[in-house]
Amino acid sequence: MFTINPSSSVPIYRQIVNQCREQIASGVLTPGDKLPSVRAISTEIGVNPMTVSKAYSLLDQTGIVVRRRGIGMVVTESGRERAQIGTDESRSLIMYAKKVGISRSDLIAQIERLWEET
Amino acid sequence: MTEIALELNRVSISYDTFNVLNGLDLILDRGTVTGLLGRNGSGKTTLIRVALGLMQADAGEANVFGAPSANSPSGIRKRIGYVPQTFDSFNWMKVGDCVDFVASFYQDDWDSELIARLTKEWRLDNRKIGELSPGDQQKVSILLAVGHSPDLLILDEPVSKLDPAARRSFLRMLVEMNVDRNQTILLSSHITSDVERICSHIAILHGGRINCHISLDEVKEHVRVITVPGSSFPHIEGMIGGQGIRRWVRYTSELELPKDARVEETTLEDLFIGITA
Repeated sequence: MFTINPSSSVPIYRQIVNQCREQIASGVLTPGDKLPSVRAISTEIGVNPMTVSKAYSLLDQTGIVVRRRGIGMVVTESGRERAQIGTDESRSLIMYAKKVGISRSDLIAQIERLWEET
Repeated sequence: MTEIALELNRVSISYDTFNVLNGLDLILDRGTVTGLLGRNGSGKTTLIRVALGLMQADAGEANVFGAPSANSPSGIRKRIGYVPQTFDSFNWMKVGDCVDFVASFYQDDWDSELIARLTKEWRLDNRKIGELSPGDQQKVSILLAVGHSPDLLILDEPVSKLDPAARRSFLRMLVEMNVDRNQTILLSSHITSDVERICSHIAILHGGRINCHISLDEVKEHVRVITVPGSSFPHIEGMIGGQGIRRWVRYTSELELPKDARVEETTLEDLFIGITA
């Protein structure tokens, strides 16, 4: 379900969050679909379970999925919409920044500056 | 409050005049998976042996689940599993007999199902241990250490001799034990990608001390390499290590840096090389 690159500078929990978002944004996972349990994911892809929990908590916070007692993580009705908002644009912006060598902190600072102006 | 699985306090030990461990501190919280990294000969095995009470430190103390390692009660010893770097015991015994022999000490606490599954997955033949390849001997050593589902599992380069398939299956088993039993794991390894996958934390041993004990997410999110040209590196808060014009730092945006400083992301391998250079 996920492909992890452990040596990437992107933390593994971020990779899981991003891939989950992508799958929901593109409609591979639809509202009501259940995400595999933390145990299933961590043993399947061989990563630390705390990392998977952290990814799931973040997804929960964004409202893309919701934690249902006794069931697990479920894609919300508005999940697709929420997953789509800004993801592609942000991603291409980040890719551009990486390509031309704008540092992460500089990019964030620039966005913050523009945010005030716009 | 989190239970502390292992605590090393100001541990020093020397061979002749060489100080291997020099006032070393390390605390492992219950449920963490820690990758112990260090260059060859940095003292990883010594640290592990002191932690287990197999070696007496010249100074300092080692505690496992709150009891001194050197003479811990058997109730606590039963909660520990250990995979040594080289396994040369029971050479005359067949794999099955040896597993049964060790299992007999633990009786009902022995997970025969797990052991049967791993024996099959790892294609371990029931031959005399002395006749097995080093990789298969390492597998036997792992079986003997995990059968009683220890709460603290310490592994000294456990995957160094395993083939990629056995290595994957072994790493999955560690994750399973950690998620099902909140098991605390300390493993020394040189394979940083394995460490990045399954560990929650890393501890880098260098110069007789743990000079970087940090969560892996923090390494990727907050540790940065800062390069400042010039002959003298300025003082920067949160410095972890490094030499010359490149230093590894716990970075925050509030950090005051010289104008010509360059900040870059790092990888675990780079951090390791930078700190232990």
